Amino acid sequence: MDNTKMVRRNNISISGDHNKVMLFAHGYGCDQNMWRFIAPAFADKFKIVLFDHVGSGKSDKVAYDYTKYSNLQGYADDVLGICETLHLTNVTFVGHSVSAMIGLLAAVKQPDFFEQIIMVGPSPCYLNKEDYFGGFSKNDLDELLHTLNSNYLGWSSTMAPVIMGNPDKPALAKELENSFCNNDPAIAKHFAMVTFNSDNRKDLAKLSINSLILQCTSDIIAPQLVGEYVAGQIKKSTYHLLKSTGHCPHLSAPDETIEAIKNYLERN
Amino acid sequence: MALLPPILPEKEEWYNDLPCGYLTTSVDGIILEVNETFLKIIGCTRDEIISKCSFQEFLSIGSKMYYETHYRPLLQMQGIVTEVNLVFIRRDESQTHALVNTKQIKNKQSLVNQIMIFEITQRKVYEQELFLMKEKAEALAEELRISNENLVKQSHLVRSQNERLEVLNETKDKFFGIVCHDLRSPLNSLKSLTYLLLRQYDSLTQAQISKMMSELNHSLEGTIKLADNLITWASLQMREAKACPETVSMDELLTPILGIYKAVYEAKEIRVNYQLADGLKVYSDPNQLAFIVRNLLSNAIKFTPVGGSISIVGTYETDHHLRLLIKDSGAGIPKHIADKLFSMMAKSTRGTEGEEGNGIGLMLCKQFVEMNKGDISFSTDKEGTVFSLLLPANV
Repeated sequence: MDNTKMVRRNNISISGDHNKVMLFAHGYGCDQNMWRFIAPAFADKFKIVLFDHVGSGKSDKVAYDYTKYSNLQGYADDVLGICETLHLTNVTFVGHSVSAMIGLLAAVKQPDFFEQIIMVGPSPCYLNKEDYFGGFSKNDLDELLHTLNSNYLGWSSTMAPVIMGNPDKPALAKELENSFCNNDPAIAKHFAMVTFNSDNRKDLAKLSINSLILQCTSDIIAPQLVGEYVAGQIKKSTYHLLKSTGHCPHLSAPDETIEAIKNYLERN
Repeated sequence: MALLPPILPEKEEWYNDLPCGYLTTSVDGIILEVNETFLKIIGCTRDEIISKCSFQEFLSIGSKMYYETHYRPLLQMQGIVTEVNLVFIRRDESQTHALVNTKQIKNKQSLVNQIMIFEITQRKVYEQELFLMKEKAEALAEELRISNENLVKQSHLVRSQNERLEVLNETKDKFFGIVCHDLRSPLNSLKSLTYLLLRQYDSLTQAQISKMMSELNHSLEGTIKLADNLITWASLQMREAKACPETVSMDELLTPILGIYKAVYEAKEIRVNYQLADGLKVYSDPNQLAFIVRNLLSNAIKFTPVGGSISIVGTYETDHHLRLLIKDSGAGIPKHIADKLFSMMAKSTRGTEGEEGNGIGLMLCKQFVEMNKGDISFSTDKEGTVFSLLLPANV
């Protein structure tokens, strides 16, 4: 795939010309805009690369292949494709939620592209299995699907986000309207199923590069037990518990998140 | 007219009796203040939840997941989220659907979430009915699409079967035509010759008998050739004929065929120029290729006038193909015949000396050439006709 095609497919944005690269990958339900409070803090030392997974944000929805994206490896191969096509090396991969595992799969397959992975709220397996606590049951997933269905009735037309001036945070540009939630309902449901049914516990031990695990306090999507499990399974991992609550510390506590990442990068 | 006294309720009463649930929470969701309407919806007392519970705790598990993956990030990005349908779990564990609007505002120095909750129990029932009908309609549309696809497939099948039937019918007509006419006439002449021999044997001279025997032999040869072609053709029609290609030396294949026709072309005083590239090898079914060459050569002889010439030239065309040209010095093929030379509708044309054919030789040649992944073409003018064969070569 050539450069322009890939940039369009994944709505890739690149800024800066540093040798070292920070590649950000958003989680389920979101798009690259969620990194807007984090990415600028690293622009002085890194080339910043942001993208939307195919099917999310402003990616090319036509490129969504239900077979390819029926497991996380399909997304991981896209990440490797982006590194290869854009000639990215010395990559620090920052992945939120499901993208932490997508980055892990990519780095297991071709570690040479990467220097380290920063995992924000990772979970290798969301479902409870015999001896493993993931946090969710199959019924919980059905309930999520019901909620998704309830909120796609008229979602795209009436859900135009209102951009409000917020003195604490940079004003959101006009072009960001809707991009956060205009995902195709069928694709959104498929991505939800693929995400919450994924089980990559066996891949954790295969990661050979350094990693930082950022765990939130009281996160129901990726509970603390899960974060600790991930840290225990990955060889060269550093575990850091954030005070921030919920599943998106990069939005709710960007300063704390930036500080944790910077401290880690300085030590490594 | 006297002014009516102000009817607005006291602030606290107004807040508590709002016709919707109203909460103020921290950005993390910890409940800081609620109105009575919300407490009634949930079935809790104020003391039980203020500063003790978070807003998310009252959501069903599906709504919690949605809240963390969609609602909260969206709220943090935009400062406001409206019209999202979440499911609340009451204290008695029953569920209620509500539309939830949230706005982040600055209260003194910290951000808080202001949340309004509208129960939509009746509307939800109606929505679910609509949703079910929509799903049903989509399923029906899908069924329609599939049956439509099947119909299109079947009509294609019927059309191609029809075309095949038409071809078979033409084949059958042609077959009957040949059997009725072409096979019968040589047999008739055979019969009259044998009749003559039987009836007048004693009165005929040795020379006359010899001439008649020679004619008899010639006529039999034609009949056998016709029968051969018919058998080959019939077998092609009846089963899936296959080519069994192998690497063959062109010279080894052509020399015996030239030998068979030597007597015939010498009788017409035709000069034959035979020229092959060194070691020319073809990758074809040898029997089928021999059939093709026999037909092309006998045609060339048939249409070349007495004293004319024929040339047979074989060369490599590319690394993987060879070309064999069979050229005669006949009068050329008339346009109306040339147009359907390789088709089922071709008719036999008599040769320069009245030689007969059966009109299926070239059709079979084309079928065989194609089965061997080759190509046959011709060019014709008043100076003669060239048949050109392109065949896989084995270098």
